[in-house]
Amino acid sequence: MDGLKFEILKPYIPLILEGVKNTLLLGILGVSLGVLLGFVAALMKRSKITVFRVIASVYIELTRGTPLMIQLFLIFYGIPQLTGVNIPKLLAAVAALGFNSGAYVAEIIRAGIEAVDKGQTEAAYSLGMNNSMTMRYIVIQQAIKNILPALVNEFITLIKESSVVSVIGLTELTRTSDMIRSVTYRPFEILLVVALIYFTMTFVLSKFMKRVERRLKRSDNC
Amino acid sequence: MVKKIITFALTILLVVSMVGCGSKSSGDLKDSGKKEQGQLSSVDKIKQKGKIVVGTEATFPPFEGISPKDGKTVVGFDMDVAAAVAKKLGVELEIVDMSFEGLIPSLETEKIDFAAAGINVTEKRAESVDFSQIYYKGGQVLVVKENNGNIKKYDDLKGKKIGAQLGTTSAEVGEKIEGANFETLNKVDQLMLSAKNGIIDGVVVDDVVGVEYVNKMGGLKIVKIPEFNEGDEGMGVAVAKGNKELLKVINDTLNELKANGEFDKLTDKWGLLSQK
Repeated sequence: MDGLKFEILKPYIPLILEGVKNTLLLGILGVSLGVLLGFVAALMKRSKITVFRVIASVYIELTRGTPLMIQLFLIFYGIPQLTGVNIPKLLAAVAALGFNSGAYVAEIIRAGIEAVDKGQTEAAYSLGMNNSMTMRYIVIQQAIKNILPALVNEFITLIKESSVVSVIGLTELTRTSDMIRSVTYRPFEILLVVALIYFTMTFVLSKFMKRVERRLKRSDNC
Repeated sequence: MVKKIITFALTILLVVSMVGCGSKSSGDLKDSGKKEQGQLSSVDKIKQKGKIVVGTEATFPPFEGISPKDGKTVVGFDMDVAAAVAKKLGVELEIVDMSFEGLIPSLETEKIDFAAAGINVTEKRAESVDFSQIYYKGGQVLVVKENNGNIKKYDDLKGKKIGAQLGTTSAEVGEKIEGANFETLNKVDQLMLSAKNGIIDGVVVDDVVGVEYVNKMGGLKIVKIPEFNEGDEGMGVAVAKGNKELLKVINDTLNELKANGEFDKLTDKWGLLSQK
């Protein structure tokens, strides 16, 4: 077989950059929506109102129990069939990624809150604070130490998962590798480049996460 | 607490609805093209929008493929015909590249106005969409690895791994091959690469497309199997069922192209076999 010929990718550099831009956009928008939904769902799950608890539980369980691609297809193909309303690709992709991520974020928040020492809430009550003050001033601050690294992890996962939205034709990084493969007839070079780009994005994020973790740990020794 | 939840939920709804309102493509499933009291026809709606959306599947050169120049523009015979339709209506052409089996559902949900993607006319498809006049009639061939010496006729296909594109008439042909291991994939270039690398033994595909891949990809050759072509009708442009106005525009465009010689120029340009 002939060796690797990376020069053939030169004319497609603008296309690859467009894919990078869209993947980052999907990651940022997806994680934002996911954090929003996850926060609401986590709150609802702890609510005294049963209906809220049920809705949140159903959302979290169903979403974590079904594949992202199916959720994406339901939004992009299913909703137009049911309601006749067409959903543009970017909206469908962000909705699916955010909706999916939200269920996992809700669990991250719940785990982060539950990981805070029970002694903290007991001490807060004994000082006369009520539930909401305890949460706001004592628990959440410490829960964030657990939640933030897990959230950055979720961001990393989302960037990798965003490759799934290529199936609805959105020109993110994975789809550009499809397109370039179909004109160069050489899959390996472009796939290697795309894998390296994904790795760079996730690597930068995980380095950032380690920095954040170190800063947060400093407060442990005060 | 409850107030906070309600505020957050409303914020999400607000954000989502604002992003959603940017889309112009919401449509009513029922009245694609029917003139009701005060309702616009499909063609009027297109002229109002200033653009017409054509759906296609870009691994099917010379009908449609991705231009090697920039890796993203879809070009081909069908795209030139689509451009002519857009020109006739005086609107811009927007090309939406999607998986082949998604084209007919996209017509039904009005994601696209028409589909030009080397679609062969079949009775089954005609139940869901309306077709223009036939603009190209070719046939199916088998594409195999260049140095494959043991597939020469239909009977040789027993026990071989054969592939075709999901949702196509090529796939229908492939499914019927007696004794073959048949599978479908979404994109034709994936199938060709599989054949070239020996992962599968052959690909069923339309003749001109097969020739294109043989020439451009290399390492492949064409084997003509006459049994593949029983009942082939030819290719047509598809619109949503009942969309008579747009269908008329498309047929008129094709007739004009044939009358002024442009059609023959396009067949030559893209290397299609002459229809005469």
